[in-house]
Amino acid sequence: MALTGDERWELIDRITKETVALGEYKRDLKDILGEMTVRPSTGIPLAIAVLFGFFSFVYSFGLSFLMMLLDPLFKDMIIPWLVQAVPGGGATLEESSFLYAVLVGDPMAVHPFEYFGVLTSGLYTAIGVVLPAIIAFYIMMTLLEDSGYMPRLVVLLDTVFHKIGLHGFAAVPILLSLGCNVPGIEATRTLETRKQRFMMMALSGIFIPCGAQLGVMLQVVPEYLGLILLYLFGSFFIAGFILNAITPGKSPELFMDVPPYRMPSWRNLHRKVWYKVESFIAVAVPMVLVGVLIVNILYLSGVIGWLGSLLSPVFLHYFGVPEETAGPLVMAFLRKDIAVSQIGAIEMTTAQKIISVTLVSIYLPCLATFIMILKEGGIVDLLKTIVFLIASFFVFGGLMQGIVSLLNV
Amino acid sequence: MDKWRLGSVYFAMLGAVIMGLGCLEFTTSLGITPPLGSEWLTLSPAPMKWMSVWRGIVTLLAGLLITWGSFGFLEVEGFGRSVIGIIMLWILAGCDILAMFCGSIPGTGTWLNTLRGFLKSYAPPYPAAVWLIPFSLPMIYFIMMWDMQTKSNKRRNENGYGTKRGKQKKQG
Repeated sequence: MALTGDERWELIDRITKETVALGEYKRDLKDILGEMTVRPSTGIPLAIAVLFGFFSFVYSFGLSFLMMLLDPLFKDMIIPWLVQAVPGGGATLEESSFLYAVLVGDPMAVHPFEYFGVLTSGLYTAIGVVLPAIIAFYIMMTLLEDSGYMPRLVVLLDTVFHKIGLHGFAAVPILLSLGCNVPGIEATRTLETRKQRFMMMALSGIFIPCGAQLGVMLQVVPEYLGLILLYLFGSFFIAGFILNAITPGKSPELFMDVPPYRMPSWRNLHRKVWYKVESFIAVAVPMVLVGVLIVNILYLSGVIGWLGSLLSPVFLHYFGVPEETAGPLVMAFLRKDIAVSQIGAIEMTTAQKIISVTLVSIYLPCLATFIMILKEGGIVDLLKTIVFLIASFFVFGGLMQGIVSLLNV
Repeated sequence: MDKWRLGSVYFAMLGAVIMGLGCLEFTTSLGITPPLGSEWLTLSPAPMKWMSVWRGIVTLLAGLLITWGSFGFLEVEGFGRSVIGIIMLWILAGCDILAMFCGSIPGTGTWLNTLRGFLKSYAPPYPAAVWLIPFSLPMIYFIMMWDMQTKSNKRRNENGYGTKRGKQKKQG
């Protein structure tokens, strides 16, 4: 049945009357709070407070609560039982069998980090230290996403990221990389051009420490973590500026819809966190164990010692760290968190510890991140990342050595 | 003096106090001023030094926003600024209370804390942000007042207007 022009207008009027409220629109408090969180004068202070809350939660809930609950399980039950139950154990590492050395490690060790065994240090780092930090991290991440604050943070940071050829969406891969580099690299898909994607993959792979690494860093050098993070973020922008200048391609403007603030739902939070933690357990934990296994075999067969003596002039004279750092650096290719925990077990000065932890951070990304870069960017982007990484390792690692000597740490 | 003007004066004063405490937290964490505190109050309670500096900056900025907003408390912009400042203060206090709660359950080297250890975790000294919570609560009253005013304004607007064409039709 066709409607006449007047009938159509009648219908439009009826629908409008029922659905649209017309009048002078006055911005209410919710609108103004939404606007203020993207305005630099009010948005930046709030972002500083929100990020403080973020890290404080990771520290309090992840590392002071969950980790402390898991700690006695490893220190008093699992590890002492493994030391006794695995056959071939002796009074020292030299007196123990090869299998025992690989699986349990040094029977003289006091702290779980010092065993270096697959089932001792490996399990302790993955489940006892990293998992609590990861759970706390993903709870906060989900809360920021579901409340609607995350898109506002993206808009707020847009101007800053434009200086290095990226845009506000770069905040998403960065924050995700602070949890795990793998989803961080995956999230670079939100960036529009190939140039931006390559830049983000290279920068987050090199300069953004993952949640696992952060957790262990908090254990090894807690009082200097702020300095290291500040240095890494500063290096991120300097390196980004250089990459932007030498990488051909475009950096378009950002257009996005900012949703209203919403109360996050408990069901969503629970599901999202479980999904992410489940994939961490399925992917990262086996990799940690395989990583420790490979490094243990390399260590016991003398390969790491050989590498250490080969690279010792560089470590000793250029970076000023002991040659034993070569072992953790080999390990860092498989799992950076294990590498940082191994650094914690090596005897060195505070300055050397800071430099070593920084070196591990800007060293090759872990194997899983490498595979992800290859998958997302292809072989050319992976090779370009490796070249950039080697240059960054020497430039920013050497610079850190200079800063630490200047500060007289 | 109506309650909005009274609110403006109150939050200007509260903001100034928070700013002062923020300054102290910041300078104490940098080692410029000697550590201050008593058996009731502790400044710079963050577990790591760099978190204390960060915390001092947040407190200072929260105080600044509350004071800045209080000068235009009757306008939505100014009021919003004060609300953001108070939210920042609540974030800090929330972190402190959570840290207190998380630290109270596990014991040192054991799964569960002793009853004495558990209760002791909640004893003073408290950080400045925790002490400031009760003084920041009047903001909830003002937020509710603002919300009620906005709702009544909206209702008035909805009743008074229709579509232009609909009006013409009615008149016709």
